[in-house]
Amino acid sequence: MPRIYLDYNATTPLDPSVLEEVTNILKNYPGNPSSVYEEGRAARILIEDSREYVKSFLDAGNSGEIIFTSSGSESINLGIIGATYAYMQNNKKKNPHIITSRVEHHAVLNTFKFLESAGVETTYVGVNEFGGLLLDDLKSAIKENTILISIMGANNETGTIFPLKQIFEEVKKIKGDIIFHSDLVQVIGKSYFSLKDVPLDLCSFSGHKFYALKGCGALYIKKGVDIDPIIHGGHQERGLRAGTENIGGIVSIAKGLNVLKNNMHEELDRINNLGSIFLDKLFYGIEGIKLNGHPVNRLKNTINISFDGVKSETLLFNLDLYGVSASAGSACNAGAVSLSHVLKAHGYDAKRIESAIRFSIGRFTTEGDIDYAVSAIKKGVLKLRAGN
Amino acid sequence: MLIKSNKIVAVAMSGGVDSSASAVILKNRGYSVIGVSMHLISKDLNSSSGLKTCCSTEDIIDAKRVCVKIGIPHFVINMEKEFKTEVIDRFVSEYLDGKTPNPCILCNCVMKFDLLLKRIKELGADYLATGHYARITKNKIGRYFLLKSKDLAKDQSYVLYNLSEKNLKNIMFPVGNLNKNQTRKIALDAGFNEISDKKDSVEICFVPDKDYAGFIKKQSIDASNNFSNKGLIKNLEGETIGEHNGIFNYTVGQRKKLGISSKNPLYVVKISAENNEIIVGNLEDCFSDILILKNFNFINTEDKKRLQEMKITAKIRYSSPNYNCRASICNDGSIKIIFDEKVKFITPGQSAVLYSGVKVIGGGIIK
Repeated sequence: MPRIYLDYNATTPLDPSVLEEVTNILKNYPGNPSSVYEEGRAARILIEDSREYVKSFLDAGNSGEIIFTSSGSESINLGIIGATYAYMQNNKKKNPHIITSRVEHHAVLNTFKFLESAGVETTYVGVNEFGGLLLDDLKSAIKENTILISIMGANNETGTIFPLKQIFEEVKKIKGDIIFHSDLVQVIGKSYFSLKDVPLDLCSFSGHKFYALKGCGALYIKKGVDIDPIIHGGHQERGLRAGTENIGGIVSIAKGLNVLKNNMHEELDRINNLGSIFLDKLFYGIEGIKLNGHPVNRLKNTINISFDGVKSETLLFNLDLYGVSASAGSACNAGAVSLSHVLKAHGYDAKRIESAIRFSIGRFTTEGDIDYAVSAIKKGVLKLRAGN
Repeated sequence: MLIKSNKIVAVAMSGGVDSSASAVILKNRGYSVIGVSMHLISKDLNSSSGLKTCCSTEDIIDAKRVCVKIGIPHFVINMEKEFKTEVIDRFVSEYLDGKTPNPCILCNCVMKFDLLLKRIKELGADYLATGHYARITKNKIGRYFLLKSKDLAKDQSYVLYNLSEKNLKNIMFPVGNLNKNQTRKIALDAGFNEISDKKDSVEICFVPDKDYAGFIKKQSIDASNNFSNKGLIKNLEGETIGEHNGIFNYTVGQRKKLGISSKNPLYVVKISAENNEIIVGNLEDCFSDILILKNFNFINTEDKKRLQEMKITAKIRYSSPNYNCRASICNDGSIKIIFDEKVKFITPGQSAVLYSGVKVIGGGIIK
């Protein structure tokens, strides 16, 4: 049976040229980048070249620095906790307030929860039924002690894109010294982004969402933004992230972005077009379905659909048996699916949330895959509806 | 033994040796096998009781490892909400009512053979298999019966008395004909060395430290239940001889931790929830030759008609022997059991299960 992989928002397969590059590095660069002799220097240069490449990809110029980490989650933790702790160190008498949205990834939400336990005040801003951020609520939530706002670029579950530029500018108009962090994990590789366009203070992303290795990520820190490290030890990564660098992972990020950039317009056009075809075929082929999230302002690769009268967990398992990989909500360590906090925040009823599945396509998805998937989904949905 | 079959069997996998061997056996027989694990309890509840549970992440990962190794799909089904309302909450409220429930019976009845069975049907599976030691047989005219396992020392039919002939048709117990050593060997031969060494689970999975009272207290406080605390301990003559710290700390037959000095050992004879009293007596007072069962389930409904004539035995708790007895149906539908000889520690809230030889007639909850 074929395997049709429709879960690119969860992770992407490694691009062959990234694999080739990483294999070469792992074979030929055994040194510790901190070492003072030749092997060390060679490894050091690789990392610094990768850093420069990432900066140029983001149009960062000399505006700030890239810190390599182990993941999107670590980058987010470092950005949010690091900035908040640094503030608390410098302003011991003031209790900081931080704001995010209800539809963020758990990496952000649980970092906020963690900071609550350290006495930090938090506000969670909601979204409307299309997943659009309630910008007026965000603006009115800003207080005298608000020091950081974290708003994602695009939602991992629905693909809904937030108008980052507008949000950023409105926030800065109200209080210029607020540190604006954005989780760009789903943006990089699926959409265009430039720091020239939106001069964020902090942003996080993850290699394995754009065909690089799992276990590597990066945080961009604008000059002047004060960050405390959360991993302590050596002076690696400008003193902000101790631990011998993951050279293979770091190089894979740069190479992944390089592959992306070389063919960006064509690739995004193709994937967006394919996503639209997928959506059309689903709506044409299956009755009683609803698109979740924003109908227009969305990553076209991401299709989050509720199927009337079907339990998403059961449909997922059936699709797996047909060879189709997709996902729903978020899975715990053991793999049990729990209800999506993102769709809850949209105000959808329980049935719509319980029947929602996310399909996400990418570089290696073909139109044939889409056709196979649509017929498998149809088969599964009809079977489950007949059983009810 | 190879059955040419395109039938799909879902095996409920706990990560233990019995369910793992069950999956191997069915796969070798030629069925299409899928593994399913129930996610019953979250880390939060775990940490509130301070310990791991049998359905912990580690066990589910073990189940997944087994499935990947034998090349079958594995799905984790989230049944946390149902487990909380159907098993834990009912366990707690029974305990607060002075009863000593057996949550494994509820879990098997509601979680596995009702909810999970429905869920695996939705997956397209024809049968649900579990690693229970019990047997299902079919006679010439197509009637299904539940029997004790071949290895009587391992028999688990006691916890399965809520099954019905209707769902027996959709259930398999692949290790029911084996003894534990044979099961272990199958797991070993399949390469599951570590799993074959796992100990049998003998405790209530969500109270692994056996501190039921502590668990009940914690759950009640969490749910801000109004549980009565201190009360009186009386003897059978109605005289007050001590104080207790909440009836949920006691079970019938309990001898330790009563906090009363007496020349003869004292036992809990009765727990009176309405008076918030513990009644204690001597060992002789703990014997009775009669009990009443409510919510009785007949596996084969025609046994109901001939119950009175049948020569039967009863088990009054999981580990009890089979006692000879007779049974009759009362006007209100409850079942009255009269034992040939008096039996010790009949505990309200526990289940009693009736057998005719190795066949399970059914069971109910002791009033």
